[in-house]
Amino acid sequence: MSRHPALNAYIQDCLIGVRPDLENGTLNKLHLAVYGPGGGVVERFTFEVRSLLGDWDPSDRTSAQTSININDLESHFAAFLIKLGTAASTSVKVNPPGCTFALLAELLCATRPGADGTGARRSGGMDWIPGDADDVSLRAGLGIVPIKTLDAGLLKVSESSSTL
Amino acid sequence: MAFPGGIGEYMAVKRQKLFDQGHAFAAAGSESTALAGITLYFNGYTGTSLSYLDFKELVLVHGALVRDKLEGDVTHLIATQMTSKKQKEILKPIVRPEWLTDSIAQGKLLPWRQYRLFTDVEASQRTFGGLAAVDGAASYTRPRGESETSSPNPPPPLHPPPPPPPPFPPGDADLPEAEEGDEAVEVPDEAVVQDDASQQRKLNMQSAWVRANICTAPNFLQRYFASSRLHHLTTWKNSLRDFVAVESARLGKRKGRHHHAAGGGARIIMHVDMDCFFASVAVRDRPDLRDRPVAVAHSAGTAANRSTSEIASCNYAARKYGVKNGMSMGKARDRCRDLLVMPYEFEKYDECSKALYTILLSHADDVQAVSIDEGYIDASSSITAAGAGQEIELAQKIRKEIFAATGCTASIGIGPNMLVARMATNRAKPDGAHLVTAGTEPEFMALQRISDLPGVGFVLSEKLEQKHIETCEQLCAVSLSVLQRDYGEKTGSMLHRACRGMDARELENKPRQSVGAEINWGVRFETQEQVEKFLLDLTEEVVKRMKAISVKGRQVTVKVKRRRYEGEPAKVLGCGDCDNLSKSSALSGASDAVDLIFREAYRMLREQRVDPDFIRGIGLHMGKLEGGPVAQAAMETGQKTLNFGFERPAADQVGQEAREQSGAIVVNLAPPQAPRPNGGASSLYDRYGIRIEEIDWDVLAQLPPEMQAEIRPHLEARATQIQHADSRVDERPPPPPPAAADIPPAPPQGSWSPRLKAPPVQFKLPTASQVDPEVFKALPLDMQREIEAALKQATLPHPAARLPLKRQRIGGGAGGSKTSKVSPRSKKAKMISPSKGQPRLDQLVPGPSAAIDKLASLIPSEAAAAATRQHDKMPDPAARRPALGTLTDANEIRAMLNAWIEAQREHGPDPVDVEAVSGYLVALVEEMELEQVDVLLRWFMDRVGVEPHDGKGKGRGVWAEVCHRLLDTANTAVQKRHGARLRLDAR
Repeated sequence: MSRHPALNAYIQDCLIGVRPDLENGTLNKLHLAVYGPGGGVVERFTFEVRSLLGDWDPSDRTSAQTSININDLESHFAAFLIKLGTAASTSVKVNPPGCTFALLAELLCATRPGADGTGARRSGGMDWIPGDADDVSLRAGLGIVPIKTLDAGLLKVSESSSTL
Repeated sequence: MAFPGGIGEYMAVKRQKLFDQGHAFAAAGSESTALAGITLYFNGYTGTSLSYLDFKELVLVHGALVRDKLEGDVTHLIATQMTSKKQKEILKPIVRPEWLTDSIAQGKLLPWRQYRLFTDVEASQRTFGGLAAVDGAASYTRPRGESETSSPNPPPPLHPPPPPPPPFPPGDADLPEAEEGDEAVEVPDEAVVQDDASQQRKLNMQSAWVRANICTAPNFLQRYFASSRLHHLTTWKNSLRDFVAVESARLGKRKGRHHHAAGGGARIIMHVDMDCFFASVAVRDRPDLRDRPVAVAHSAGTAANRSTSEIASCNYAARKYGVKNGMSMGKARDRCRDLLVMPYEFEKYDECSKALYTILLSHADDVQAVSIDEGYIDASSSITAAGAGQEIELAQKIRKEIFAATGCTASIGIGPNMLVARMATNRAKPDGAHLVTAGTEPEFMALQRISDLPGVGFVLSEKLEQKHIETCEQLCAVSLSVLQRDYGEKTGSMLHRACRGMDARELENKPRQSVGAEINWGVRFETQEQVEKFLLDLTEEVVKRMKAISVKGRQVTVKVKRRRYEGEPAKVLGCGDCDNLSKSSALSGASDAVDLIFREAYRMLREQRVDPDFIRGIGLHMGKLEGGPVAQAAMETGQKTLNFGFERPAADQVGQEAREQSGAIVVNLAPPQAPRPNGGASSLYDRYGIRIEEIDWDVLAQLPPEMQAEIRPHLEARATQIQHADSRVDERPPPPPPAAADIPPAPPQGSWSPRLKAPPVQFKLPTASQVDPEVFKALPLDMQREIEAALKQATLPHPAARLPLKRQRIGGGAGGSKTSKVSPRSKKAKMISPSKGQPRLDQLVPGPSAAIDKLASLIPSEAAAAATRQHDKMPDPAARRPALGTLTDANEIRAMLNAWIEAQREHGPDPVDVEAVSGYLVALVEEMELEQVDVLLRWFMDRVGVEPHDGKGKGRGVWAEVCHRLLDTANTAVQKRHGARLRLDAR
């Protein structure tokens, strides 16, 4: 768990930054990639989001309902965290010292991240730097451990970790 | 400000000052250390002649500490009364002041437990006692003569009220059984002596009369129950209810309600009430007394001896003098010197009452027994034109019949509901009938006094009077919210409705809930053995009553009255002001065994820890009854009756037969008009008011096959008759196959369904967005799946084109089963399509053969892709759910695969089936259900015995190969999507 205020602020900024994409349904994946000292992904956590609301009129979107209520959501997220904890504990190896990490957003279409429907920048969050496919491509030998999928009907979130 | 620290400092200083004062006082006048070590707090009265301050000083000089606030270090609370709320909140011992006085007197601290204000019984049971304490205290110290004149009313019922008080019961509030015996025949003066020293009345135990009349006397119970009026009233009410319930069940009266409830027409309710019943019965055989004031009571009483015996009923001649029912004899004598007092004649009442109800039953659609002389009937079906005088005509007819049968007059009030009918009866009395037509009830009610309303007692009408509300008209002006605020939610809405003449109650005869006996008169014990003996007698009495109506009880309730006073109450041998304690426990099974019930009851009685000398009443009740006349009658009529209810027997016939037990006579009640096939079942439908046309074919189709089989023959038989009447049905071709988007409620078999005459109802499916997710979630799982499937179906533009790939049949296991295409809608279609015959349940359950059939069904990715391609304005999440066959639930799929592996263990699976499973896995990956893929693959590997890193070809032959193929397929998909394979070895 991150405790450092600067780090927390950074993460929060990132999340605020992807929010417009999330709302538009253009966000496909959000990766937390850990790079080894020599570069290359050694561990990666991926949130995959699928929204069926993408083409909807914004007004419809706010009134859309799913079969999951807020209480269910809370328990689902609790389940996410629990499974995340166990997935980390079953991970075979400990990352070598000197690793770095990055948060990467993967979009469905080639728009600028953080832009809303009209292309205008939304306030809040930070600017995104276009990444490279290599930034997220896994090294050979890494295996995927599914963590949890939340199916809220119109919105589906799945998390998986990729480790040795 | 004198105290800069604010209130906190002020209180601290005050506390210290009082503490110091106490110390100083104690040090100055210390007398003993008997109470040393305890810290007391006084709550309310000390209950002695000492004031609080005196008492405080008394305990201080004996070493106790006293706090003026209930602080943490207080060890005991001293109180004589406490509300149950407070008791629950205060967790410290609450002790009576006698503890302190006795301790001081004996010079040592006595164990406080013996002086507890409350024993372990439920606190709520004491609350009433608390309220009545002052009255009780006043009445027992008053000289005898005075107390009698000033308290003509019986003491308020001390029983805790029955749980939910009915809104406004027209005299139908359950009387506490035999609440107070009133056999104070002629009490000799020597029976009660005045103890001059203590100002208390004492019972003279040496008096022969007392010895003969208290509960320890031989045959006390028999005499008590033979003469107690209230006991008779309650037993009658119960047996009448049973009687009415049995009779109306036998006559099929209940149909009436169904009929007019459906018709929605105005109801005609009549309230039939005998005029001063006991008195009328008393004078009917002695016409010479008719015009003289007559009352019925236990004791004639003279003005001199001021009898406490109560008047049960008095005639109208007596009422002119101001004599009223419930008045004590002594008081009545004051008003009417030559009042003629007649004894009770219980057998005659019983006889009259039976005759009364027999007449009522013959005229009514429905009868509710209220008491021996009072009842409601629903006569809606006898009145064809409301307000045209038919009502009065009918009422007069009933009144005439009652007079002819009983020799007593009755009054009838008629109204559109029970309340108005009852109020109309007041207008009708004596010996008349009064009609309040529907629509005029507000005007009628406006004239009524509130105190006359049923359910409005003395206290409530007093309260209303203080606000100058005396008539219903004035009450109508008060809004509902104000009423509810001032008088409580229930009472408020009751008043609000009652004053407008609204009453939605249905006539009903609640079946008997309990059997019991309770004695509160003459109960005086000296030893525990007497208590034990008495309870045993009581148990025997209760068991006798249970056997008489052949019920058994599962719950034993013991009630004890413990006196709250010293000496004797105003009413000779009465119970006076008491605490009511009660305790119940459940037996392991229903029983009517004396020893078992007695043991349980005696245990509970002992647990109440009431000194024998304090017991003023004991009650024993059996609840949770099983069996009984009503249940029996229902059973008997159900078994023996043929075609009952076709024809109502003539009134006199009923009258004759009503006295007999049901069952034996039922068969000849109504000769069948024509032999009918399955007559029993048809009448079964009749009885419940079910018409064949109303039977929902969808529901029928969903019933288990056994039940369908049971119902079908009757329907067929009935349908045949319908067909005779309407032969076109036969020519009608079976309905065309349903349109794709509709789920037709087609009847299972075309030939005999009367429903065919109507065009098949088309259920419009809502679009996915219109399905409320909350509602959807609350549905049973299988219904959810059905709706999902239907919705999915609706999303596909051309279902026919999208039907699954051809399916070839797998030889072997499946036997001769025809393989058919299984489409997403197959489940539905198979179940109700007429062309496909009846579905067998086993076709729907995944089993070895069915599983194979299903495997090849829908290719989920295709359906999902189709849905995506179509991409309507409203995307349907359900359409995208990967499915294997029709199954989407992981557990079911696993069960199906298990069966698949089992069935094809030797030969290996059909490649097409493997293809289907691979397709499913890929679909899961596509649909982000990696977790499911993971779990499923792990399970599969385990099932067929493949290690995660086995080389190809190892493991167990064909199935291992299949497993590897599936792993490969899944991993390829995962690799494509996520850039790596699943790590299946972890964990």
